[in-house]
Amino acid sequence: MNRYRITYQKTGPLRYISHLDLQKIWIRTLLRAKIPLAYTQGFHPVPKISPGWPLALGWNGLGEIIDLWFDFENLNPLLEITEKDLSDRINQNAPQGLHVENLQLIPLYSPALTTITHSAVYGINFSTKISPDELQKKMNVLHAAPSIVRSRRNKTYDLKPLIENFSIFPDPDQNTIMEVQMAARDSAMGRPDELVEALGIPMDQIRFSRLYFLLESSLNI
Amino acid sequence: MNSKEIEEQLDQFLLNVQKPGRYVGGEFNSIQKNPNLIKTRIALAFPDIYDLGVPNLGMSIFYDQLNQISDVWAERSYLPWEDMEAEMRKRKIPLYTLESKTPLSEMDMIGITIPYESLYTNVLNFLDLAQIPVFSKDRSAEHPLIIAGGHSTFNPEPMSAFIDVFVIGEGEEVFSEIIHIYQSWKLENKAKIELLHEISSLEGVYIPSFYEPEYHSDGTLARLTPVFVRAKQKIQKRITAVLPPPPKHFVVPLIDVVQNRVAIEIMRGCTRGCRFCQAGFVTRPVRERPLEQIIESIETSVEETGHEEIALLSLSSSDYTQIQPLVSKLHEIYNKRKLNISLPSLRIDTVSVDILEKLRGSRFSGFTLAPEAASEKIKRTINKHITEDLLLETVDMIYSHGWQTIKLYFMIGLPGETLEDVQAIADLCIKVIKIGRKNIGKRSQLNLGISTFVPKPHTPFQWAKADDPEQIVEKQKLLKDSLSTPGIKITWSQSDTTMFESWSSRGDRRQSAVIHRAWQLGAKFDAWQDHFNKEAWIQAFEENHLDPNFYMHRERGENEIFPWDHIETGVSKRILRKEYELSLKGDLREDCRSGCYGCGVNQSFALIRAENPDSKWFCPPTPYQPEDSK
Ligand code: SF4
Repeated sequence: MNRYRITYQKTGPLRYISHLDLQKIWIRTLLRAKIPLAYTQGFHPVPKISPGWPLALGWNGLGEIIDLWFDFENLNPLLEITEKDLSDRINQNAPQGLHVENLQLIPLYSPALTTITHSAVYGINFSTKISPDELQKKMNVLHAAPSIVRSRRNKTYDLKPLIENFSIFPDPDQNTIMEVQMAARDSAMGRPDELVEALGIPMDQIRFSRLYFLLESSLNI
Repeated sequence: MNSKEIEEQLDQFLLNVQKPGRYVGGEFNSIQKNPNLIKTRIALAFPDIYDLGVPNLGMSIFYDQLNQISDVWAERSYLPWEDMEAEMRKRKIPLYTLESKTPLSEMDMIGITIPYESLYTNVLNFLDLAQIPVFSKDRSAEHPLIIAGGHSTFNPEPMSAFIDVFVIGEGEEVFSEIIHIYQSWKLENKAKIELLHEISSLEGVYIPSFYEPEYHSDGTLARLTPVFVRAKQKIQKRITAVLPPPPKHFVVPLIDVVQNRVAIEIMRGCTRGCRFCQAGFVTRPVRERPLEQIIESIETSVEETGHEEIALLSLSSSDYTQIQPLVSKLHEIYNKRKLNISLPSLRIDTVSVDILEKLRGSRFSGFTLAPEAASEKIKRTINKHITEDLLLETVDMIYSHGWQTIKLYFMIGLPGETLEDVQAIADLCIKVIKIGRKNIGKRSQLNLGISTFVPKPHTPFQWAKADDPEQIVEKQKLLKDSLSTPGIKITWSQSDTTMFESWSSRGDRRQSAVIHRAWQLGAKFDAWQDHFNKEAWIQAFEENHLDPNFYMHRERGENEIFPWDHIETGVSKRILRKEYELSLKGDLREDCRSGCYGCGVNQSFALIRAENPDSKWFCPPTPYQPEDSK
């Protein structure tokens, strides 16, 4: 058994596919790619896969992560086991919008993906609804407050400590972009749409992407 | 709106609808082509939601087949659910193809699959959402050609006002012939009528606008007359002499649909002659698919899709002559793999239990049997005669071999049925659950599916009246009362659905106006339990001065001309009548594998059989006889 950490994109039509359906898509894609997934032990064996934090429906994921366990004993002997070959195979058998960017062998018993995920970086595209300067001002005001109390699913929480970093800039098409790093831990999950709401900017025509995750190991470097 | 605008619009609101994955395409094995290299663009349509449409085998066959033609691009389209429909109508977004998001009105042709009658209003809604006029007469050469096929079109008349071209029977060959004609017609820039004329020369094609009905004063049909000399008097269904190989590529949906599986047809047609079964009569002759082809197709489609479930389809799997070798082979290949193979419609006997035991793998789903009737009289009426001993012996074996749930299908409302016959169903079910209790105690479960019989065209019961709703209620009550014991669960067919089916399946041309009006009044998704809009339909009948009872509760005269008589399935009306009479007398007809009774199929298709010497049919070979020498 080998464990791989895979960084991939979830874009296009796949934006509208739920976290649960996406896992089934992974399983089918690997079956088609003839890369045997390892199964759990027990009476009802299920494929060993461990996805990162769910991505909100409708958003682009440009650096999503999933851990997969492959069972190379059952591998088609004609298949090469290089990282490039594995990711090529997956990409050839993936539906539109699912694309492996990077595939890396990791120690079998390293900690679970979600426990070592620290933060996520989001891109918020405001189109031309607000200029970078204006947005910067709004962010400054927001940041000056001692706390940003929000309520979600009938629970109130403070958004402020979940915002870890941000930068604002125009893209080549003169759209206003904000990249924001937010906490992505079990106990503290920052949502960029909550931030936009806290800024008092109407949500229509704003596009969200999750650009990449920051893992414990990558923070140490 | 062009495809780019449609996509932009979708991004604005898709998150507000349930299951947005239905509306975005992008599935593995869905086909993208460069529109600049395409001569003919086709939308294949299933007039119900994505979840039901994707598993449809007919759609998969045509999608695979047509996309193999290099200058043709076949895309798919399904009916949006109500929340999506509301958004689309509000924003004036036309219905589009999933692959390229092109508005359907820009297609050259739209091929609509209509397997059952309850999709009729959906077809209208589909065209309307596509911003295409619903009436055939209102569409010109500028509009896509609307083609329909599927089992309900063996009586095309109720939908005749909306469809340009019906394909009757097996469409695998006809579709590409129509495309061929279409392509040269388009080059010549001629009128739509010219196109229809050309297409009408094909076998198995029916163009309703070329015919005019006349009625007797009692409302029955007097005649259906061709308005053009060249229009055929009779339309013979199309068949392929040899079953074409199964589709190579199946679209793999991104979301869960009703059946997440690959379906492979192992055999077409049936010789059993159950008198209620339309499929059994309209799909004759029996043609099998070679064993090797089935195995190969399972292997490639499992690899290609990543599905872990395979369904082997036919009307009567036990009659597939290679069933034992097929099952052994599948057992050998897939025993260790996590694959589920379902083989529905097995005969009721212990051999079937052996077969399913080999295939079931680690999963014990329910075991399904369809005795349909319990009393001796009704078994004879419907010509499905399974002895009680055999049924109980099979049930005993099923419960003792590890299955906990048995599903039994019965029918009520059959011609001549009395409460006594229905009581026999209840008595039999009690025996069944007792056997379950004896074997595995309280874990045993019996699920009953009690459907209400609807007489169908092209069957021996096409003359029969449908049972009165009051009778049905009483029969259902009897079953409910007799079977309210733990371990037994009953599901019924909805009385509204039954009623709808019985007036539309044997409807005539005048029902087009009724369907149109009912749709205007809000009828759609008629097959969905809580959606059936009875008031709309009743009003639509009234406004058109038609009586639903005329279609439902009327015993037809022996010589009555039926609205579907010009559609020939190959089984002669004379034989159907004979079967009806036998049925009333309680006489059985043996499976015609053990003796041909000359239903007409082998004569009707003798020519195509002769042209294809490698066709293996079960009908005895007869020399080709021209119609008039019979
Ligand atoms: S022609 Fe004879 S053998 Fe063939 S289906 Fe009809 S009755 Fe059966």
